[in-house]
Amino acid sequence: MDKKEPILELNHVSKTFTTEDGREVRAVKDASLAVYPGECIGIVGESGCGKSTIARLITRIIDPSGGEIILAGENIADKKGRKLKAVYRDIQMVYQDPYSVFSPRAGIGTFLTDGLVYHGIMTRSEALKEVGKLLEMVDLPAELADRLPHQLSGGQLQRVVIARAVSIRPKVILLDEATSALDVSVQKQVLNLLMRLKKEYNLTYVFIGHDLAVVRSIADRIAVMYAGLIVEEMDSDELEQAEHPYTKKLLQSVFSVNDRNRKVIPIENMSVSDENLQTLGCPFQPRCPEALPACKNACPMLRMTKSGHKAACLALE
Amino acid sequence: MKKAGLPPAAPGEETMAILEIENYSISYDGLKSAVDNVSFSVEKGEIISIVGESGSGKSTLLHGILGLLPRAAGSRGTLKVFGRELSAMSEKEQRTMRGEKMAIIFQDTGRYMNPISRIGRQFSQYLKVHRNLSPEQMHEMEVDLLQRVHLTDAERVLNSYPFELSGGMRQRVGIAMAMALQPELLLADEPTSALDVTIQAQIVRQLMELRSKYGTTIIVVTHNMGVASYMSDRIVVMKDGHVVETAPAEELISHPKDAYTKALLEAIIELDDERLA
Ligand SMILES: Nc1ncnc2c1ncn2[C@@H]1O[C@H](COP(=O)(O)OP(=O)(O)OP(=O)(O)O)[C@@H](O)[C@H]1O
Ligand SMILES: Nc1ncnc2c1ncn2[C@@H]1O[C@H](COP(=O)(O)OP(=O)(O)OP(=O)(O)O)[C@@H](O)[C@H]1O
Ligand code: SF4
Ligand SMILES: [Mg+2]
Ligand SMILES: [Mg+2]
Repeated sequence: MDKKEPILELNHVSKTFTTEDGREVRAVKDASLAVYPGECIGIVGESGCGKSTIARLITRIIDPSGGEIILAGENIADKKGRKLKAVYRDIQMVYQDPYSVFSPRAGIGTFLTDGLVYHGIMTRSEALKEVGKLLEMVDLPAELADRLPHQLSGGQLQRVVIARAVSIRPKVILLDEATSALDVSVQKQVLNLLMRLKKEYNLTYVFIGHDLAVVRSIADRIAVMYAGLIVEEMDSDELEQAEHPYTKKLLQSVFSVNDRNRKVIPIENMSVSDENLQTLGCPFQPRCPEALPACKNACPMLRMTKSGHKAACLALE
Repeated sequence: MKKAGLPPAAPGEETMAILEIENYSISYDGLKSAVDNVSFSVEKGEIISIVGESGSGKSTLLHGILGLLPRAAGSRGTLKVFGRELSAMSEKEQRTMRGEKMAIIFQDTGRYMNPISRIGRQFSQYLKVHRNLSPEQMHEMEVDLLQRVHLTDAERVLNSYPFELSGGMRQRVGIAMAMALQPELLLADEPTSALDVTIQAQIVRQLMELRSKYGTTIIVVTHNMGVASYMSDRIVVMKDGHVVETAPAEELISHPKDAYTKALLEAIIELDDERLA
């Protein structure tokens, strides 16, 4: 893997939403992350911690509140309007529900070629000639081109979405829970497909998911998020030696088919007081089994640990 | 008005089928069956998981049990809930039963929410139909229920529109609503698919507690074989509209008989597996 220059870099990126009634929601607080060409970086984390918001910031569907998003050496954080079209070409996104991205009346062939046509890579008639090849690339029969979305299964449709994303040769593909709606057998096929395409076209992925085993199986590195912050970053092979208390808790919470009845789920009382929510300290402190007195007052920074992970935890400093 | 759920059956006490399904089929278009000739029954206080192929009819079956199929869809065969044939009940009876005795956690909660109405409003409308509470009592109940599913910032959630919440936050609102009225039969369609595994574990524990405290009968649809194996007494495997295998959870995991069940189990990715190459 070429580790020299990141293809995508987030530098202190933040996003605050302001709701209609004037409340501020700090969805992403201070995220820094480098993604290198040809690698897959996995993102896992608490539900609501800002993973999809990061994905929407990188694809520039929404504007960041602060920080830099560097794509192939260029800051795209402040790009607006027509200048964003190039970004849309370089970064493609695959969502959890494939049905939601299709228009119900447009055939699969049209959907598949939309990207090529929109970005002026080919005319529609040129692109339509490529449909068979694109379907073949994701192991689907060419006849599917004439079908409508509801005539395909979820797994088939997700392959079509992946084929369209790859068709325009983007620099980065973001996959936001892209396999979580699929049964384990189809999921595995799609993961293998993603791996094959990654090698064939030297693709770069950001893979967001909740299934730690799945994320670990496909990602080279894993970033763990909690409450809008990246709290740990490590090589996938190191996941089981995770050091941050939240990552450790994630690992303990996985249900494996092999440990039926062995796991005892400790009760977590989550009625956090307002005071806790306003705290300046570590956001994980109310749930952290290893919290120190200092954790209430100081928010830890992401730093290199002794074993070479990056972690944001006072107990590891 | 229904009080708390029934106590769990004492050992030796006669069990009662809460749900009996026999040669039951559902078709959306009158041509192809989405659920095809399915038979199984569920005893009071049982936890059953339905696993299987994407598109095999799992959600369709749950919607059938609740009487929530689209008008154009048709069903054949026997489906009895609480001992009564569903198709023989009036719309009104079905609606009352849905509120008082059964509830569902939808797979795609967002799709069943009104996009232009705040969560708090939708929650209150739901509670109002079935409970006679003052606005203050209702609010208190909502905050409590949301905090129980670990939505700690409950006030913010109640004040939000669905699009302002993450997928997993919406899913937990759905769980809180389904648990609100203490149903005797709870249908949970992928209840934890959008949650991080620490919260998933808490929800699984709470579902199991509903059974041990109130004798709640639960049917869970999930792609997570670990969750199915952990929480259920029996597992039903579906493929292509059919039930291909039903067995006690441990037996199904350790001695699967059907070829599809075997293939499914083999495809599970575990934490200590080799990474994909
Ligand atoms: N348009 C919006 N307006 C206000 N708040 C928002 C908006 N979009 C997202 N949020 C908030 O930002 C936070 C992060 O949401 P996000 O969707 O990024 O979470 P996530 O990590 O993807 O969660 P999940 O795992 O549940 O999908 C949440 O608290 C959410 O309520
Ligand atoms: N409202 C509908 N109208 C027509 N066909 C439908 C409708 N809902 C589902 N179907 C079809 O019925 C079949 C069964 O779908 P269903 O959603 O029940 O599957 P599922 O087992 O829940 O799948 P998944 O695991 O992906 O959620 C599929 O072929 C689907 O395309
Ligand atoms: S900083 Fe303190 S509270 Fe936060 S994770 Fe580390 S030990 Fe726990
Ligand atoms: Mg998300
Ligand atoms: Mg379903």
